[in-house]
Amino acid sequence: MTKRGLLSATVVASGLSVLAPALLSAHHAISAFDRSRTVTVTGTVIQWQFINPHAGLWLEAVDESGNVVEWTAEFQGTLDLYRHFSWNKDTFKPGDTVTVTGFPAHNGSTNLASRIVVFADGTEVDLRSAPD
Amino acid sequence: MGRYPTRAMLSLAAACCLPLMALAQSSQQDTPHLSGVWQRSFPGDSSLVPEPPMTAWGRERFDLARPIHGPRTTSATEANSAELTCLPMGFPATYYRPRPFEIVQLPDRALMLFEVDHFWRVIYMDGREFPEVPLHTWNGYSIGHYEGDTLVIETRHMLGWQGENVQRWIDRVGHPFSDAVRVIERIRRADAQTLVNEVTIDDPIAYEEPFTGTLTFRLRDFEIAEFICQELMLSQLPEMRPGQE
Repeated sequence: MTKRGLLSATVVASGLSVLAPALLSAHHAISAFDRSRTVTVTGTVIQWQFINPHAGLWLEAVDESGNVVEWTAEFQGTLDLYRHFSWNKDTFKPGDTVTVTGFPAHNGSTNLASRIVVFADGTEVDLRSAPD
Repeated sequence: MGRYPTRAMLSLAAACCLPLMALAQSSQQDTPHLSGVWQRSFPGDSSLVPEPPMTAWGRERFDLARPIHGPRTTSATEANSAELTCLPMGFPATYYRPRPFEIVQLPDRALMLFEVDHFWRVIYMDGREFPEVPLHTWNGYSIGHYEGDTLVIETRHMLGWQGENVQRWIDRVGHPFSDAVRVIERIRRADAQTLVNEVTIDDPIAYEEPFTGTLTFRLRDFEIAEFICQELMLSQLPEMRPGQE
């Protein structure tokens, strides 16, 4: 059996909020996310929606109990992602393995506001580096 | 006639062309160079002034506003800004969206091309007056002229108050305006990379007296692209509504 993904609910009680860039202030719905901690999710891409005002990535991960859990990772809009990181509609494909670190939803749902993405080849993109 | 121009011909050509060249140069010198792609410095303020002098009319409507920015920020599902229904925001409110726009200067007009919703604004600079019979529109009618290094724009005939659930604001925090608003913009380059827009709101229905605030933009080295508000209708992200950013 192929190990499809590992959910490492690494709730880091760090002061990551101090690293939050201006773009977070731009984030209308950021109040929905808890900026005082981060969660790291490794999973398999189900869907990548490259649209405005926010792109979305849906991941299927396996939690510590072996249950498959679907996570939604929210991103900046398409043009920030394109201009700063050359991302486009083909950046993620179903089946890709991806690790996303971000702020979890206040309401306990499996949504996060993405901050760092690590691709299967080890490439890391720090979304906080976008100056917008 | 010889193959090459004579000295007399050259003198004649110079006499004819020099004034034109001088005129062109003069015109170039008189027109400040404002063209380029500009983006508001972010996050920046969400209003021109924290507490504009509202009339009772203005206060009543301000109290009904439920913005998604500023000190009274509410959830996107509770908010009632026109922005959230992808309606145009007018001026200066459009500038508060963190999206770039391009200024194109032509001899008889200036254009602003906005990335958000790919809309354009024409600022007529041919000496015309405002239409005698106003046609109120979401973004109004704009006339401009240069004063030294500054592009001065006056905008009238913007649709103002539309109702509690389709609110029109001069900013992102809920300060209303009426159909009678006059918006004066004074746009100049503070330096090579910075554009400053000093905005005056003159709306005797919504405000006791005119007031002025400043918006700052920085020069960007990319092309404007396409940002369509209604794309959000396609979003599957939780708790999303149009215009949120």
